[in-house]
Amino acid sequence: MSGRYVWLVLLIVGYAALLVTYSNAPGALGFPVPDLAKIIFFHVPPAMLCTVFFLWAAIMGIRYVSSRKPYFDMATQASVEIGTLLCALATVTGMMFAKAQWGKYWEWDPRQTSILIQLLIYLAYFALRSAFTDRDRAAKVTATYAAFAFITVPFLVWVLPRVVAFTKHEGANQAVVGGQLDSTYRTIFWIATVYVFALAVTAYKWRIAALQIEKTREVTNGLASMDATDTRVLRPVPLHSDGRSEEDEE
Amino acid sequence: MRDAWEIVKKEFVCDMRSRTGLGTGVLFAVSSAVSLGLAGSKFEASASVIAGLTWAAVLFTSVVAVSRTFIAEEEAKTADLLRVFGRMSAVFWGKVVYASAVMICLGFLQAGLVLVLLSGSVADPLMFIASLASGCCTLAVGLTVCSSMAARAGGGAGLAGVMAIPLLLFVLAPGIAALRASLGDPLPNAWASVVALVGFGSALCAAGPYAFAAAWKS
Repeated sequence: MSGRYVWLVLLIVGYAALLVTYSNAPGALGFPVPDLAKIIFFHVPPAMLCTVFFLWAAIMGIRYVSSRKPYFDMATQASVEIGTLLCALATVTGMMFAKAQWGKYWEWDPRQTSILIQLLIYLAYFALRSAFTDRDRAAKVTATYAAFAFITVPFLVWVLPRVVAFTKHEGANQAVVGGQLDSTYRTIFWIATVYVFALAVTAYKWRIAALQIEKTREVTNGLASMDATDTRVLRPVPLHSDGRSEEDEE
Repeated sequence: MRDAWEIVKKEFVCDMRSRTGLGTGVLFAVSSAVSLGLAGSKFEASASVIAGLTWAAVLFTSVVAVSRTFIAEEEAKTADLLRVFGRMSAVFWGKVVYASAVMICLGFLQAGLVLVLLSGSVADPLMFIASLASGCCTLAVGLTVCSSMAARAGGGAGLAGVMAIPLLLFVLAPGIAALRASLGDPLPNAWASVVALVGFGSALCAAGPYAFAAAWKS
């Protein structure tokens, strides 16, 4: 087994061990239903880290637009993919958290709304990428989009919850970042965050490696089709109205 | 500055000739306002309902009216002329100014119609004007950038809408809050929503020319 697989197995086993160990711990204070508050270990780290990946995508996008080096396009794509995955995870676990704590899957809480909007914004990245037939143009436009789209993130994360007066996240935020969690909870929370970050970075590196292989294949295939020894010439073939050519008839 | 003004004039003349932007937008604004009025004819709509419906309608009207700004250039084969016209910033600001003017006209038309049809009344005219004007300009900037990105892609205006609606959804939250306050709903610190709208619009204006230059010239 190569080093990278050992690293991944260690991460997964460690994360699972962490959660199993904690499953018998008492409930967290500061939540309406303390016993069901453990979902924050699945919910908060992806919600925080998706923003980091979107920021990285914006930086890589700007670097691609200024340098046109293919690596930065791959880094942008991989960052958006991992960020979107984390964002989707945060949305789904957020819905589970809302059901457990507030009694409803969807409350139109500003934080719930902002993470959903972020998810939609970055899903549009894939729609844009697939709409181009020219790969270079797709790379340039989507890199620009990844950079431009990040402008909305600070507004969604910091401004929206303050513009909308009512939020149910106040208590949860205070519990997580305001120091209301006991030391065991806080330790496990930050270890879980580091684990999720390590998993996401590993996935990001693998995705870039896969994209590089894809790119190499494309280049190889492109060069093969431009082989000078290939002397076949395409010529127009007259077609009948039913789609058959004269050659077919012969 | 003069180049940008030339673009504004050219946009106005082309729009009057083809009637794709303003003409379609007016028709969509009126018909959507009538639909909302019909839907709400059997109940008395509160300020928050009127504000929410108005902003949702304005958002969709902006997609119909403004998202084709660069796609129409590609279809008419005039995009390359614009590319050699001169500075990218002049093209961008010319398009943004015209799109903002169109959106302000459509936004006020639509909001007025929804208010009349749903029997709403304006309690704070200054906030009503400030929230609608800043929101419409923000929508125009965002859609102009998205349109330039989608111009050469398959899907055209539909794709621009798919990109722009999530990007501009943020406008709805402060827009609705400010409009509710202007219609008489007592909201604490409602001007903060207008400031948030202006801030978001300014951020898009600051980044817009760079994003446009990168996408449009590719």
